[in-house]
Amino acid sequence: MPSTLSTRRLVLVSLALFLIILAFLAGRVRAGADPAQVSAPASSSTPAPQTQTYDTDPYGDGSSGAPPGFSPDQGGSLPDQGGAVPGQELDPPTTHAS
Amino acid sequence: MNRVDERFRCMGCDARVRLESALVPEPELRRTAAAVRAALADADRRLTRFEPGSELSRLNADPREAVPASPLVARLARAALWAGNASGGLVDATLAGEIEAAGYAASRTGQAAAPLADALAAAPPRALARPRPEPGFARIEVLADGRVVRPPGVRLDSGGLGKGLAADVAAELVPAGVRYAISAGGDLALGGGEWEVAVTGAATGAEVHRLRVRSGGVATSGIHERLWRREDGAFAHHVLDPSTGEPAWTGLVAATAAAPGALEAEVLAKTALLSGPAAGRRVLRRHGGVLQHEDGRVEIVERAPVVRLRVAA
Repeated sequence: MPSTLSTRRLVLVSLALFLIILAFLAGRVRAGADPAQVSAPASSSTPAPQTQTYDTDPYGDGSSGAPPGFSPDQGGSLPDQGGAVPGQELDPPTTHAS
Repeated sequence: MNRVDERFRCMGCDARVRLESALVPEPELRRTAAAVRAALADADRRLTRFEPGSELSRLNADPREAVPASPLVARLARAALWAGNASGGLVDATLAGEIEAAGYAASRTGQAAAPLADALAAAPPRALARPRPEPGFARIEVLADGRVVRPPGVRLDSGGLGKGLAADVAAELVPAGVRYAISAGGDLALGGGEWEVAVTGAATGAEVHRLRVRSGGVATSGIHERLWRREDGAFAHHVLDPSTGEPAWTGLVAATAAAPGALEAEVLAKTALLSGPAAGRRVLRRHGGVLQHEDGRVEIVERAPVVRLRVAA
C-alpha cells in the first residue's frame, strides 16, 4: 500500500508541475514573447486575407522556411529603451516620415 | 578613425551616407559611399511611379500577366507580397490607383505640407485601418526566372517599401569593418556598431527621442510630411486605409520602428500607424519604437522581453 500511495503522489505532483509549466508557457505565447509566434499586428477583429504561397523573407529568395510575419527578436537591432541618450552624437542619423 | 559623411537628394527626399572605419582607408570609404549613392539613385530611377519610363511604371502598364523584371523590381514585388501578409493586409503596395485618386498622382517634392493641426481638426472621425477583403498584393508572384506575375491592372506603388528596400540594398555594398548608417528618406539601414538614431517630431520637426540600435533598420511612417488639401477642401495624406482607399486617421500621426532591416522597419512603422494607438503599441513591442499621438504625446514603446528556454545538451 505505501508503494501505491507514493506512486500516486508522484503522478499527482508530476501532473501539477506539468500543468504549471504549461500555463506559464501558454502565458508567454499569449503575451507575444514566443519567437516562433506569428505577429498579429492589427486589431484582433481584423481578418488576415487569404493568400497564396508567399515569401516570408523580405530580402531573400523565400527559401528560409520561416513562418510568415515579422522577424523574431534576435537581439541584433534593438533600441536602447533608456530614453534620450545625452549628446554622444552631435549629428546622429535621423529617422522621419517622408 | 576614417570617416565619410555625404548628404544628397534621392527618391524625392533627403538621403545620407555615413561610413566610419579604423581599418578601411578613407579613399576606399569614398568609393563605397559612391557605390551606395549609385545604388540609391538606381533604385530611384527604377522604382518611381512618377516617371512613365521607369521600370515600375512600365511593369504597371504592361498588359502581360508575367513580366520580366530586374532583380531590384522583382525584390520589390516579393517585398510587397511579404509586407501585405506580415501586416495582416494593412501595408498594401497595390493601392496605386487609390493614392492617385487621393490627389497624389505626381511628385510633391518642393511643395510645402498643409498644416497638421488644421488637417487633424478637419479630419473625419478616427477609425482603425482595415485590410481589403481581396487585396491585390495577394495575387503577386515572382517566378524562379525573375518574372513578376500579377493580373494586369494590379499596379505596384513602391512608396515607403521602395525606400526601405533601397537602404537595405545599398547596405549590402558596405564591406566588413565599416560602421555605416544609410538613410533613404528617413528609412535607415545601420550596422557595424552601435548607433544613436534621432526621431523627429511630427508637430515641430525637432528631435523628440533617440533610439540606440546595434544593427538593422529604423524607419518612420507619418501623415505630416505628405499632407495636402484636395480640390474639395478636404485634407488628405498618403497613408491609406486599404479597406476604404482613403487617408487613414487613426489617432496617431507618426510611428517609428526598429527592426532587423530598413524594409521591415518601414513595414512595422506603417502597420503601427494604421493600427492606431493600442494595436500599434503591440506592433512596436516586437523590436521597440516610438508612437506620436495626435495630441502631441510621444510614447516610447519598449520591446517585449523574450523568454528563451534552452535545454543543455
